[in-house]
Amino acid sequence: MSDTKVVKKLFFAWQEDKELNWLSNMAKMGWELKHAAFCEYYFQKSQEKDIVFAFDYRAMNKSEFEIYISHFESFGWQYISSVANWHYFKAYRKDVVFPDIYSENTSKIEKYKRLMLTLIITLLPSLWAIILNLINYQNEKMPVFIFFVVFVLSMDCFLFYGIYRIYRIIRRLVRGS
Amino acid sequence: MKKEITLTEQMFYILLTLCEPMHGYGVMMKVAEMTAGRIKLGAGTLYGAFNNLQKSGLIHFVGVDEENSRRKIYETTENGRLILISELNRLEENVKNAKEILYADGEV
Repeated sequence: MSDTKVVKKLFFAWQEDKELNWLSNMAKMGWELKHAAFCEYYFQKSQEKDIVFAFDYRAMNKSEFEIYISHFESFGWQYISSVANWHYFKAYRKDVVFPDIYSENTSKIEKYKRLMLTLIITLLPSLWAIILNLINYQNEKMPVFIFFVVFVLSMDCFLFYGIYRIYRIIRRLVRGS
Repeated sequence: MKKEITLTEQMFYILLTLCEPMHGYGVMMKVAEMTAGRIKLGAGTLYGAFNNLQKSGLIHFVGVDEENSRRKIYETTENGRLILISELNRLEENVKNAKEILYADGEV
């Protein structure tokens, strides 16, 4: 039996708890996460069964990032990898004083607001592209135009849904704090 | 000083602890010690707090740790101290009012 395995799995940004639970359960079964990429999780057999995980969302430059990582390391967190500004951390339960990277809701809310801002910024140019195309609409290009609009709009619907789910998470946190 | 800054309890303790220059891990340990383990600061909360407090000029960067140059050391500024003092006044008022009502008849 191999000591490593790769699992392909997709979690959306609003399914963080589900993803965290899944990773902890994998650790309980002896599979420790070594690397995370987009939809791909690399595990290795490990004796360490009690592992906590945390994801942070933050955009920063390289020098800031080094300071950021060593800050987390001083608290007992091990940096795993990053996927599009999502930073994955893990810690052996015995190494950390507090098993979460956020100890109060206000800072958790800020994290989701940063994420929401990115989603909105991603959404706006595509809406703008549709409007521009409508303004410059030419009859002979209709099939291309319809294809473009359907494609972009379905992407946008998905983004809208994502923003809505993140908004719900923020609202729940605001009520809880 | 008219700035309406509402400090969360954790922010209050971070600002208070930084009256003595310190890095993140030191702040977490000090706060846990002062509150007998009641407040355990998370690494992410502290990182964000340092950024926010620095942006609003309540703390400033004083240098890096001698042992580890990637550990930043911060200290509370004069403005930060003023915020702490106004928070202290607010808390004292709370304590005074609560005592007057709860201990009115000499009972606990």
